[in-house]
Amino acid sequence: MADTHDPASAPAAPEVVAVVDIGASAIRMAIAEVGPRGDIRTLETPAKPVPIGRDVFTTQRISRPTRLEVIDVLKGFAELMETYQVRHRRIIATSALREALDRDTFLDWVYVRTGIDIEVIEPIEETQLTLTAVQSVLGPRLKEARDVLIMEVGGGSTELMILHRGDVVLSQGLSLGALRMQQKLAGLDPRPATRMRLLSREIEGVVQNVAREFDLGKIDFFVSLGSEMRFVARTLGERAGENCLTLRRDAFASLVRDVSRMDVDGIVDRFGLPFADAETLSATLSVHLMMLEATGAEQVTVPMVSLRDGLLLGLASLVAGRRGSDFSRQVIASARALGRKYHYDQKHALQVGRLALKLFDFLQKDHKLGQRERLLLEVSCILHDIGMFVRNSAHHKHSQYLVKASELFGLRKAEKDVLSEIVRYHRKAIPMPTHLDYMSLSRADRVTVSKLAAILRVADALDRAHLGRVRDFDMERQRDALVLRVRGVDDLAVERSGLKAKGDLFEDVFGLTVVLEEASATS
Amino acid sequence: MSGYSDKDFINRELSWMAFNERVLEEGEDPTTPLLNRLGFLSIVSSNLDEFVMVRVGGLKQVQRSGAAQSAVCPTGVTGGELLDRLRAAIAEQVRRQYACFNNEVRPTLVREGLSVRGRAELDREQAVHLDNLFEEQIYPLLTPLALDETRGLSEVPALTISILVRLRKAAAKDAPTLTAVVPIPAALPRMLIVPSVSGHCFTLIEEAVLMHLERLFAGHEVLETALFRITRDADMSVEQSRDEDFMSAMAEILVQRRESPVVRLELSADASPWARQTLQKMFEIGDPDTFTIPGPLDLKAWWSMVGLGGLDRLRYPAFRPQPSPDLADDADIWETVARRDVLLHHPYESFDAVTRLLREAADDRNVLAIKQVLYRTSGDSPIVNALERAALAGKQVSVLIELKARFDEARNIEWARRLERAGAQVIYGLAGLKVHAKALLIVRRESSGIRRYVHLATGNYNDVTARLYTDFGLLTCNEDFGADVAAFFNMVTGYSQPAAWRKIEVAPLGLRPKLLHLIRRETERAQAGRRGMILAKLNSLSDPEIIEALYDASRAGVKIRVNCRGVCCLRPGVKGVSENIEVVSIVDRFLEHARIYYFRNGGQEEYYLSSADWMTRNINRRVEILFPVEAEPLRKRLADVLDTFLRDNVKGRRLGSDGVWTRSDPGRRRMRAQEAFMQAAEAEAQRVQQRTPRQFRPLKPAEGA
Repeated sequence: MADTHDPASAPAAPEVVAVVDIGASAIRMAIAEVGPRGDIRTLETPAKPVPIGRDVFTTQRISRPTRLEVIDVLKGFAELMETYQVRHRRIIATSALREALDRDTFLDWVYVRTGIDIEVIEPIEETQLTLTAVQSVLGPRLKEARDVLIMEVGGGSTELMILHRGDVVLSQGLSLGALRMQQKLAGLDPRPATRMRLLSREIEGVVQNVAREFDLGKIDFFVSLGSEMRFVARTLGERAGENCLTLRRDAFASLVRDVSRMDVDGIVDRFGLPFADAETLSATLSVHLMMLEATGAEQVTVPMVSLRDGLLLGLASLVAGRRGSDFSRQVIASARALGRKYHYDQKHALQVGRLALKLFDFLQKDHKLGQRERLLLEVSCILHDIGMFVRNSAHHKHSQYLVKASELFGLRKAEKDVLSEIVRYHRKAIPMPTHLDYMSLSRADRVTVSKLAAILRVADALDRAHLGRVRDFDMERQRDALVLRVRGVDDLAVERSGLKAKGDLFEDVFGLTVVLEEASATS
Repeated sequence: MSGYSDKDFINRELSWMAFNERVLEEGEDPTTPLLNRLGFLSIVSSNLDEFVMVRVGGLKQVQRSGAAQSAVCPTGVTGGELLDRLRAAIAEQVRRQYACFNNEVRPTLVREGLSVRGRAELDREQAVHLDNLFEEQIYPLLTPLALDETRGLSEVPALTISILVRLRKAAAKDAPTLTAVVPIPAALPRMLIVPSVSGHCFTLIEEAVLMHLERLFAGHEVLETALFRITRDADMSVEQSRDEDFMSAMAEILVQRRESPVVRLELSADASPWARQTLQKMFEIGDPDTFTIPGPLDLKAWWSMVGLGGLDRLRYPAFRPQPSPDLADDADIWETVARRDVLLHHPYESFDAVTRLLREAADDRNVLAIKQVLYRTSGDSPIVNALERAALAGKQVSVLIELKARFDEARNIEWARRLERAGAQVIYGLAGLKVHAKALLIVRRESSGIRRYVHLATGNYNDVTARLYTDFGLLTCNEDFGADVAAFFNMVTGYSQPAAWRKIEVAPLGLRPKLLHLIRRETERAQAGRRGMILAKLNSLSDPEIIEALYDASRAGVKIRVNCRGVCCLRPGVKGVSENIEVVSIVDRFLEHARIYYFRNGGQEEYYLSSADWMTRNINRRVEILFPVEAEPLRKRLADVLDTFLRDNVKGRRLGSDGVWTRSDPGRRRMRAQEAFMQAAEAEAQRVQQRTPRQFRPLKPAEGA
């Protein structure tokens, strides 16, 4: 996670933040200033090519020369962060590092030499960050369209997202990467035409797989991302609002045909691209084109943003103390969809969520957790009982593995691990050193699980009857107790007995006994 | 279009000689004040030194290697023929230089009470003074080299005076003669002051040594002496593949330079045929490269007399660089630049504005970082001092020091080390490229956020030459400039691959296409029947592709006016090639150094300043910056400046289609650009000073002071 400060203390003066994206072919940074309202002013955008993808996609490992290059680049970037006295930073790596077998030693190697902690993000978060960036440019246009397809071809894979009326309905990583395709073709017939045929066959198959899951003909808004597409858009696109260009389908198709007939030197000469980019240009553009041709869209929309803009927006909202509201909405929506799948008690989930969040906000000073954790709590309230779908007894354990095995839009694997543990501890045993899943989490994550599970247990106890009785109450934090004065309920015996069973963890974690008092409506 | 013939170009080396001739003419000009005449004659010598070292050396290398003459500028002159013509031209310039020095300048100096005496002309008191000086300060540093014909040659230093001595053991008439060389240590001043009842009296250090030769060769009889000076080939660049320790590679070059071939031998007029033969054999050099000098060797030493105190009547009236009206002493420099761009025209406007900016940046607690390219800077530079202080104060200081700045290497290494010790990040240039751009970036945190102050210029960060060279500098807070210059530093420090520039253009990547685009745009407009115009003020114009583009433009009807101080390979006024091109050169008391480019662009006029001349070397192998000047009042000012330069009819010389430069006839309306700028700067500064203050600003001591 980003090293952030208390989100409650919103800074008045602009703050400088930095994001670094360690990709398959380059390391790129953006240094920006974030104003008090979350407005972003980009200061610098340095980038250096580093062939991590080339190494990993061939040998599954990062070679020593590449490691040294990475160190060099990161040291330079660290100097730049120093220049601007960057307060918040986030350094992430994507597909290439995700797949490297030696990634853990590599991460440690980098950390030891540069003090930089690289966070390897999951495809799902990558997609979500990209979506955030796309939304910042296209905003309402994504909702006006019926079905939107957003895609980006990376070095190792192609990420694809389909939105219906603004909500994500499909999010997939396809096994088509520009570098990988290029390597597959390496050593084969060097003639562009033959290569193109092989390439087309490969892409064709993947497009058909997607078409089986979603009727691509319904897509009426096609969004392409990636540096190659931004380059093409700058070359022959038309302006379509701030930071956004469009390409007509036929113009794009004829360009791709031109490029596919050229060899790499020709591409370098014609477009003035660096050699490494020129090598993968044809494959990348072909994937975009063939996907486009499978849809009903007449043009490609290219927002001039990248993953880094998504990272920046995320940091900006943290700095500005704002909730990344739209994104949270997406996560909650996808959690509810999962809940429905397992016939959850929607009213109970909602009530537990309300209570838990109220407790979470009230206890801010005690737990010092951020917005991201608040979101995890909210999601755990939705999902804590889904294990009952399998069997009532030990349902907390069923909930745990169901959560772990399901796709939840916008949550990284590490976050889902935390989430599944919260869910698991919503009843019965509290975390113990003998619990393997729990102990395999980092210390910081174990603390998060304990705090959030403690709150969830109390909230769940307060709705033990699944009747939504506890609605109107005040809280008072005493030296060793949290007193809840509940109005409009005559007898709180059920809830008290619930608390007796489930308030243990809360007492352990916060050092507070939860005391329920009936407050007369008139007092 | 192309298809121009060799005849359409002027040979680069010959054009350079023509430039030095214009400098010589300033020395010969009786209307130039006496000491300034001496100054110009002295510059002729130092120019020739550099030319012989670099160009003649290079041509001889080419000749030796047997390769065809490099086709840098296609003029159809072969290498051998060119060398002959250059030697003849050098000999002729030396002849004129000394004729002027011996017959006019020196006698007049003596009449004005300023004499440089030979050892025979010294009076008794002066001789005693020199005896003491020799014993105490000169003798301990002398290292005579006894030479046989095979060793010791590389120890004869280049560019300083040496004495060749023929000796014999005393009282041994039959003993074989010995040969020795006494190099005069470069660490000692060449011009020695001797006591005098009236006026200034000097003698040359070699005279003092000659007076005391017997102290060096006790027990020997000195049979004859001759003064000489050698020049070595210096056209050598650092082997950049060995980058790990650039500093030691550089130190190696400094040694190598001492061992590279001798390309010129200068001899005193009294040298005997024996002396001439001995030296020629010793340094493997023939008659064509041996020059007998009709007077004291190396007039560079006379430069130190140009500034002597109490002789103002013999110099151009003193000019004090004026404060920029935008940056009066009490103005808050940050606030001013944040409000509007400031253009500085040196030396008319003082360079203090820049040193002050750096000084304040070093002491300002809101300044986070300072990044700068230092190419050639002065000895005890206030700039290096400010950077050092900033680094010690914990600011992030990144300095790119260009160690390959010819002839300055030894001095640069010293500052580099000093800055490193203070904690600055010092980068020693880029592999294979000389960084010639002049750029400064100051990152400052202000209440509204980060603000980047940028200084881009045509001249080096050197407070000494900024008093002698005419240059422009732009101070701006413009966001696009800030982003570009930050990205520029990321590029040269290796933090990033080159960026897509918003405003500036950078050589060697995009400068050539950009310049060609700007020129061709005028051509296209002219072809479409619109007016096209290009104005260029620069130091050298020698890139064939640019020249051909200018020819194309001229043929399309674009009016082109070039103010070119030095080498110009473009041949103007040739029918069907360059009829619409006019070339003027100004050589005056300040060295013209600014590069200004104007393109009419169909009425949407564009003004640019640049560190780069239109030379192949600058465009292809150096890191240079071209930047637009966009604020309206500044553009107006550049328009006036360009116009003034092009109208100079006192110091301006016009290049004919025959390649000959001729002075213009001032006629009734005399216009001398440098004079006009001095007067304007003084008038402007006075106007600002007399302005009734509208607010009272208490002067506070600087922070941390």
